Amino acid sequence: MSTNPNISDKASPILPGEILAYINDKPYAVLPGETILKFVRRHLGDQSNAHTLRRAQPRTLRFLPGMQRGRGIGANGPAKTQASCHTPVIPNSFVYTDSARIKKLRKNIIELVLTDHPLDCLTCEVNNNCELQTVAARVGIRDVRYPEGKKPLRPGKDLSHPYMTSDFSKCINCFRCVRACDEVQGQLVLSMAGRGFDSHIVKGFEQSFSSPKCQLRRLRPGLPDVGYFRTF
Amino acid sequence: MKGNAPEVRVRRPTPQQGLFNKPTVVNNVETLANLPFIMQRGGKAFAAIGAQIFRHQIAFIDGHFHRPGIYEADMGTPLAAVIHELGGGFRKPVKAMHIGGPLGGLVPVSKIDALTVDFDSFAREGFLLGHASIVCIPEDFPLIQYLEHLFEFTAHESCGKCFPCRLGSTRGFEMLHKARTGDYKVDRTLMDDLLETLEIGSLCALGGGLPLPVKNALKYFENELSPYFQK
Repeated sequence: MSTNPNISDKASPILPGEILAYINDKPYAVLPGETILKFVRRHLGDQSNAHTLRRAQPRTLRFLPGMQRGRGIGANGPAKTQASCHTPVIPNSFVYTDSARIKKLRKNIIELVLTDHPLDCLTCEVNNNCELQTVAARVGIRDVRYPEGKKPLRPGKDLSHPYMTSDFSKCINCFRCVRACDEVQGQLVLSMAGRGFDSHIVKGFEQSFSSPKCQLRRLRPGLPDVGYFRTF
Repeated sequence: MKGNAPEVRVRRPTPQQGLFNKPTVVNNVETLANLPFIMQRGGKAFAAIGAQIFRHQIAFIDGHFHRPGIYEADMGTPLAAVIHELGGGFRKPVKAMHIGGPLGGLVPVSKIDALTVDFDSFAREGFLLGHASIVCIPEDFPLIQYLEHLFEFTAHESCGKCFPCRLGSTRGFEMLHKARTGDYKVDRTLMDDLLETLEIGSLCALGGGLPLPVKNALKYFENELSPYFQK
């Protein structure tokens, strides 16, 4: 139980000399090198900041996978919001997890992501077991306001591997599989090719799972599951 | 570069380091343009020009002026002097000038007298001096087409790392293109949301800079653009 009335029950007591930062205007103790996401989750719990995305067991948080832009936690001060998953907590900073501005930003980014995704949830094989679907529902997207636009040309299903299948027509370029392949498995089989709107995930030199002697099957716990990439 | 994909970093490396961890200098055109003077007359003469960090601003002005070219002006020179004295005035009627590069501000001609060539003056009026290039938009050129071009430019230049820039620039271009060539009306709320998302959600200044000229255009040329938008 906290000795400070300003701190929620979940927060650790603030000891003299500890570095502080503020979450929604309440002071909390900061651990050295902690990211904003870890800081907020440590004090307010795992579900505290409007996202349920699992992370791909990163060894390092140096790189920002695109999907995690949807996780932004409003930080007071700079004009830009900071993505919470990789930004270290600045002592004495004020972090706002659910301001109107950050809620709107989350919603708008996810809406943009959905413009690049086939909206066939009802017939999708991972319906009701999809992180993107969950996040979209959580940020409150009912429909996509953008008109029908161009869709990137991505290869469809790859069933060539005995353990893994992929359907990149549903890929949202979150880069998490690329990170898992690099940082966890150290294989670099999966990587990005193309630039801008045409950027896409490739296996080896635009091959299939069976060609590059893929060892990703060992990665089952860390792989994302938003309909485009499944492990068995 | 260094075996990494050509994408922007989330933030600069800390501690700061150059390419391959060696001291690295990146010169822009303006740095190089100062070298001949320093080599001819020495560093002391260069330092004696003035105490300001930015002593000169080099203005690039385009073919809609009588005397297009690259000029050097002291910081604080009235914009009107650059346009009329250095550039010799406009050759044809111009409604706006895009100053400071593709992501600079869109300055209507009515604002010329309010501006001097320095960062503060432009920032105060809601524009951006940038590298002080001046690209004119003639009276007879549809502004909607210019905005469409800006979104297309950003989509083309985008590295694809962050969602707002990769998708937002393309969707913005598509909406404006549809509005210009068909019956489609761009939802003004949606456009404002898109601009805000680009501005505060993009990783680098490419996506973050695009909203400025678009906002300027929507503010100063509302009458011209209103047929393409719906509230």
